[in-house]
Amino acid sequence: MLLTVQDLRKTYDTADGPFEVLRGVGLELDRGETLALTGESGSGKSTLLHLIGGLDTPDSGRVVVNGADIAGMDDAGRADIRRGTVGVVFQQFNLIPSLTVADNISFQARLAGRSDADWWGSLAGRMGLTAQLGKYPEQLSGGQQQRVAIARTLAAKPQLVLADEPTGNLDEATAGVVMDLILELVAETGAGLLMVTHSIALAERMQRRLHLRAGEIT
Amino acid sequence: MNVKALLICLLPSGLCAQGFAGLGTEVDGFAVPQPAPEFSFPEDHGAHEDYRIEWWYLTANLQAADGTDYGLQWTLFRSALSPEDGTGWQTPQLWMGHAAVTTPTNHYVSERLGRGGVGQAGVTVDPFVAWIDDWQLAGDWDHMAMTASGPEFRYDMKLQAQGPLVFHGDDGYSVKSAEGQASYYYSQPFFDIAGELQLPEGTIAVSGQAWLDREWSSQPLSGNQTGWDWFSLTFDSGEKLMGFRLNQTDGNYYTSATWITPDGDATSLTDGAFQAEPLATNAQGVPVHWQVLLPAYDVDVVVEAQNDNAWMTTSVPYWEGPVTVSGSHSGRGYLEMTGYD
Amino acid sequence: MIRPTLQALLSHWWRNPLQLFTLLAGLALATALWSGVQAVNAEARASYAAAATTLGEGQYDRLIEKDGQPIDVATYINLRRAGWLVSPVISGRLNGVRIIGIEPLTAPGGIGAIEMADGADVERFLAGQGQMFGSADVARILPEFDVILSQNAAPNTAVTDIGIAQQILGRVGQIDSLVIAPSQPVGQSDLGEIAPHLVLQAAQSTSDVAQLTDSFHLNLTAFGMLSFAVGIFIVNGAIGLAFEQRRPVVRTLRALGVSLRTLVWLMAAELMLFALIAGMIGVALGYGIAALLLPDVAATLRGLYGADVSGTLQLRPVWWLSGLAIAMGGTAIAAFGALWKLSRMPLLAGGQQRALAMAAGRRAQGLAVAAGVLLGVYVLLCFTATGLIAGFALLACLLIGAALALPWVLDVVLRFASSRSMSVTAQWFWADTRQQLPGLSLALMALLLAMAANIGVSTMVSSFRTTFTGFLEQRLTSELYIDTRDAAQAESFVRYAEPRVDAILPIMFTQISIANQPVDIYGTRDHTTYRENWMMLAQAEKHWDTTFAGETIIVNEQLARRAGLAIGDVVTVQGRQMPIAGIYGDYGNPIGQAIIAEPLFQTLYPNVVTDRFGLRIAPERAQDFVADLVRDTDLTSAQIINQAGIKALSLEVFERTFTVTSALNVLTLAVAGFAILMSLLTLAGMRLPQLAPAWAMGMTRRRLGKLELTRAVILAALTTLLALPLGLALAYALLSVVNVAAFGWKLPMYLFPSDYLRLGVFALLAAGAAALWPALRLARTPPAELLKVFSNER
Repeated sequence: MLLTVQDLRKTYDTADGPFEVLRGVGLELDRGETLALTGESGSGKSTLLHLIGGLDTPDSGRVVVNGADIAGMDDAGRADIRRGTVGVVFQQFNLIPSLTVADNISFQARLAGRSDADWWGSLAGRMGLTAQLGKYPEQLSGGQQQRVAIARTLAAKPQLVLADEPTGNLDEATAGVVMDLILELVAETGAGLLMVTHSIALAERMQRRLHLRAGEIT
Repeated sequence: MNVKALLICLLPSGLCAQGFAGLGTEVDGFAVPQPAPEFSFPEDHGAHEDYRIEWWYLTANLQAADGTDYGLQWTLFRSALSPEDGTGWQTPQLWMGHAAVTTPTNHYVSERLGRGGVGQAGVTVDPFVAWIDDWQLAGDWDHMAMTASGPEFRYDMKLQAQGPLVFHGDDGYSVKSAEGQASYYYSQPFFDIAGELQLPEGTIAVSGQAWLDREWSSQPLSGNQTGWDWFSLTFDSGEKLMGFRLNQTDGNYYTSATWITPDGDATSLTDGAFQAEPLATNAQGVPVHWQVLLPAYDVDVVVEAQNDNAWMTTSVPYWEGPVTVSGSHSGRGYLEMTGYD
Repeated sequence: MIRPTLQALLSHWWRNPLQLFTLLAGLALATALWSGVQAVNAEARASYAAAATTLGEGQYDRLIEKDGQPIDVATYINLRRAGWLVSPVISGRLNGVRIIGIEPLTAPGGIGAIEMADGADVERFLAGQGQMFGSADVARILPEFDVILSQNAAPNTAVTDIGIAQQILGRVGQIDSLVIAPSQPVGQSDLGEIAPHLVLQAAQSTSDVAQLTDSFHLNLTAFGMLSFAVGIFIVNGAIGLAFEQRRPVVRTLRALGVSLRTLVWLMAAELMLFALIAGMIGVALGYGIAALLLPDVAATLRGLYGADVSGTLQLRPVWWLSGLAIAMGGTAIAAFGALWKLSRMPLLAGGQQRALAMAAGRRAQGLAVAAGVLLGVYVLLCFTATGLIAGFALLACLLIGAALALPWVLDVVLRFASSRSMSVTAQWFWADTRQQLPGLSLALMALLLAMAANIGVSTMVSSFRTTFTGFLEQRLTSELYIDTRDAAQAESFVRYAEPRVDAILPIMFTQISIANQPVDIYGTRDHTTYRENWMMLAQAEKHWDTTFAGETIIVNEQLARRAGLAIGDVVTVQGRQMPIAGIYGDYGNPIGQAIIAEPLFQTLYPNVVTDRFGLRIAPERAQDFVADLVRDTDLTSAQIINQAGIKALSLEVFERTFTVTSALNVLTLAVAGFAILMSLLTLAGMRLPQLAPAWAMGMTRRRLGKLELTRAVILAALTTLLALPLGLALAYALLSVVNVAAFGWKLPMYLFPSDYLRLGVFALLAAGAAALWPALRLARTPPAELLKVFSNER
C-alpha cells in the first residue's frame, strides 16, 4: 500500500477556543490509484492533505507513506519525504519568483537529485510551456503558472501526488485541459493521486471519491 | 643579522665569515712582527695598538681539597679596526673578554665586549692592569690578582710566579707557517695559583698551576690555514711542553713547540718535531683524545680532556679545557682547538 | 539539494540588484570606516613600538639620573667596572629627526631592531664616521649623513653610535639612560654604593608615548565604532527587507522538501559570502581612507605629544584579517534577528499580515522601553561615571538609547501633525508618512547618529580650540623666547639683554616625580607676568606670595586630578614638604606640571642648566631688539622665537586635528545619506500599492513624486532637530567625562549655532539628494505599472 492513514486527529487553537478539524480520519491509496477528496469549506480537506504531505504534524494517528510513518518524524525527516516521495501541487502555485520557468520546472527534480532533462523537457512541451521557459513567473498568466507548478511536481516523478484545488484559480476551459494533463501524466508514471476539490465534475473523473464532513469521512 | 652579531665578527679581526681562517687575511697599515725582537718590560706587557690583534691568555689547572680537578680560563683579546688613532668613543680599539670554569661535569662560559677609549676595557703598564668591565688581571707579574664573573660563576684568584718568562720560537718571534707568517709570543708558565670559585655547586677553594700567554701580531695565519690545536702541558717532573699544530685546508699541518725545563730554559723545536694525532672525538666531532709525540725528548703521551664538553659558546666558538696527560710522562695541562665549528 | 536551493536563494539578489548593492555597500562602508581608523591606530602603535624597541624602554629596565640630568661617562664606566652590565643610550633631535645613540657592543640583544643592510660598514659605524640607520625620510632630511636604509627603523628616527650621536647633538660626554641587560653576573656591587644618584626605571609594558596617546586613539576608535554601528544599521535593514521578501520563497522551498536546518545554514553561508566580499571591498576602501588620513594624524600626534608616527601606511595582515572578521561579525549581528525569525517561522502561512502588524507594534514598544532604560543609565552615569570605560559606556547608552527612541518620537510628532491638518491631501500625506516610518526608521536612526556625532564631536573640538586659543593668549605673555646653546651662551646672553629689556624670565625645568606621577617642575622668577596672567582653577590665599617665598607649590590640573590633590595638600619635592597653593588650567599639555620659586629650584636642582628665556619688552621694540641681538651676539635668529610664531605653531597642530575630525564627520554623514537613499529606493517598489489608489483618485504622478521628496526632507528635518539636543548631550559627555578621564582636564563647553545650522542644511541636502532619485522614478512610473496593482491578484 502506497498510503495508509489511520485515525488521524488534529485540533487548532482559534479565537473561540480549540477547534477539532480532523476527528479520526482513515483512508488508503495504492499505486496508480486516483482519489478525490471532497467536502465543504472548513471540512478539513486541506488540513488532511497537509498532514499527508508532511507539511504539518497530527495530534494523533498514523500517516504511513511507502511503509514509513511520517507522523512521528522530525522536520528533516519530513523534508526528506516531501523531497523524494511526495509531490504537492498547491492552489497558490508557490513558484519561486526569482527563477525562470525552466528552473522552476526542473527545481524539485534537482532537489530530489533525479533531474532528467528529457523528461521535464517533454513535460514542458506537453504543458504548452516551451515558449515560456526563459520567462519569469510574474510574466505568465495564472493558468500558465499553475501548469508550471504541476510540471514542477511531476518532473520529480513522485510516487504520491497530492493536489490541493489545482484548478481552483483557473477558468473552466483551462481547468479541463490541466486536469486532463494531470490524469494522463499520473497514469503514465504509475503514481498515486490524491486530489482535494470541491468540483463534483472533477471528482467524477477520479477512480475513487471520499467525502469529508466536519472532520470525518462519510 | 643585527649590528651586534656583525660587530662580533670583527673580533678578533673578522673571524666570523671565514672562521679562524680569517686570521690569515691581509690588512694594510698595521705593523708586522720582525725576526730577532728585543722586548722591553714592563712596556711590552701592555697593548701594542699598531698591531691588529693581541691577547693576554691565562689558563689554569686547579684542584679542590677533595681532589676534584677544575680548569679555569681568563682571556682578554684586543682587536684594532684600523691602524689609525682616535680618542673617546672613536678609538678603533675593540676588546673582548672570555672567561670559563670547567668542572668534571659542567663548563661555565662568559663573554664581554667593550671598546677602548672610554675606560670600559684596556691594559695599563704601570701598574699593570688588564681589564674589561669588572674582570681584571693586575699585578707586577710576580704577584698578580685575577677576577672574572658571569651569570653563573665568579672567581677571585691570586697568582705567584715561580720562574722566568719563556720566549717561544726565535727569542719570541714565533713562526706560524712555511710562508713565514709570525707573531710575537712569550709566556709565564710558572704561576702558582690559588683562590675561590663561586659556582652554582657552591663556593670552592682551589689551587694549582697557571700559564699566561702573551701574543700579538697583525696576520698570524697563512691563507690556507683553518685553525689550530694548541697544547700547554705541565709534567709531574716539572718539565713543560708548549706545542701547536696549525691545520691546513689540504689536510697537512704545520707544527711548532717549546720544551721548557723546570728552571725555565726553553728550547724551540721547528716544524715536524712535535707531533699530535687525534685518537677519539666527542659527540660534536671535536677530538678530545690525542696522542702527542716529541721524540727529541722521548715524549709519547696520551692527552685526554677532563670534560669533553668544554665548548666555548662565545661569539666565535671554540674548544678550550683542562686535560690529563699519561704515558711516558704524566701531568696536566690545557688544550685549545679552533676551526671545528 | 544544496545546489538548487542555493541557486533559488541567490537568484533573489540577481533579481533585486539594488538590495544586493545596499547590503554590500553598507557593509563595505562600515568595514571601510572601521578598518580605516584601525589602520591609522595600528600604524601609530607600530611606530611607538618600534621607537620603544629602539630605546629599549619596552624590554629592559633602565637607570636614569634622579634629577633628570644627563649621566656622565664616568658613571657608566664605574657601573661596568663594578659588574653592572649596562649600556648607554642618548637621544635628541636634529632637524626634527630623533637621533638615538647606542653602544652596539654592550647593548643587550634586540635593542635597535636594525637590519644590517648591504653597504653597511661596521667599522665606519663604530669608528665615528657618521654612519646611521634610518628610514628613507631620515635619509632625505639628513643628507649630510651616511644613512643606511633599514626596514625596521622607527619612523623619523636615526640610530647611530653613541659617540656620533653625542657629537651631532652637541652633548659630548652625556648619556640619557643606561639600559640594564637582563642577565647580570654573580657578585656585582650594590647599586646604591656605586651610583647613589641613579634610580631604576622598570621596563614598561607599553612606552610612555603609547600611554600618552591612548586617549587620542580611543577617540578615533570610538569614531570608527560609531561609523561601524551606522553601517550595521544599514546592513540590518537590507537583510531584514530581503528576508521579509523571501519569506514566501522560504516557505515554498520547505514545502518542496528542503529542511529548515539546511535552509538556515545556507542563508547564513550566503550572508557570510557577501560579508567576505563586502569585507574585502571595505578593507580596500579602509586602506584608502587610512592612507588619506594618516599624514594629518601623524602631524597631530607629533604636535600634541611629540610622538613620531610614520606618515606612510603598511599593509599588515593582522589589520586586514581583523577587517574581514569585523565585517563577518557585523553581518552576523545584523542577520541574527532575521535568521532567528526564519527558524521560528511556521511552514504553513496563515493570517500573517495582522500578526506582523502586531509584532511591529510590540517591537516599537520594546524599543521604546529599551530606549528609556538606556537613557536612564545615561543620566545615572552622567553623575557617577569616572574613567574612560565608563565614559564610553555613557556615550553608548546615550546614542543607542536615542536611536531606539527615534521611531516612537517621530510617530508622536506625525500623529500630532496629522490631527492638526485640514486638507484631505495633508491628512493622507501624514497618514502615509506614518505608515512609511517603520521602513525608514533604520535609515533615520543612522542619520540621527551621524548628525549627533557630528554636532558632538565638532562642539568638543571647537570648544577645545576656543579654550586653547584663549589659554595661549594668557600663557604666552613674553614677547620673545630665546633658546641658547649652552650655559656659556646663556650667560653672555643674559649679560647682553639685562639692560635692554623690561624683564628676563628664565625657563628652568626638570623632570621629576611627584605623588608617583611624572612631572615637569619649573623654577619661576617672581614677576607680575605670572601674577597677572595665570588663571587659577583653585587657589589658596596669597598663593603667589607664598610660592615665590619658596614655601608653597602650584600644580596644574592634570597633576591635581591624577594624583587626587587639592589646595592645602602636601607633596614631597626632593625630600621637601610643600603644600599646594594653587591649581591652574593647563590645556593641551598631556603631563603633570608644577611651579616653585626660582631660588628654591636652584637649591634643589643645582645641576640644571637654564638655557631658555622669556623676554618682556615693549612689543614695538621687539623687532629692533632681535636685530641687535643677532648682530651683537653669537645667537642666530633660529634661536629666537617670537610669541606669534609659537601661537601659530600651536594652532596649526589643532587645525590638523580638525582636518581629521571633519573628514570623519563627512564620511559618517555620507554613510547616513546612503542609508536614506537605499531605504527609499527599496521602499519605492513596495509602496506602489499604496500610491496607486491616490493616483487613481486624481493625484498626478508628478505631485506624488513631489510629496515623496517633501516627506523625505520633513523626516530628515525632524531627525536633525532631534539630533541637536542629542549632539549637545554628546558634547557634554565628551567634554566633562571622557575628556577628564582621557586627558586629565575639563573643558568649558561653547555653542556654535552657525556650525549647527550649516550641518543641518547639509543633512537636509543629503536627505533631499537621496530622495530625489526615488521621487523622480515615481514621477516617471508608467501608468501600466500602477494599473498592475489593481489587476494583480497576488
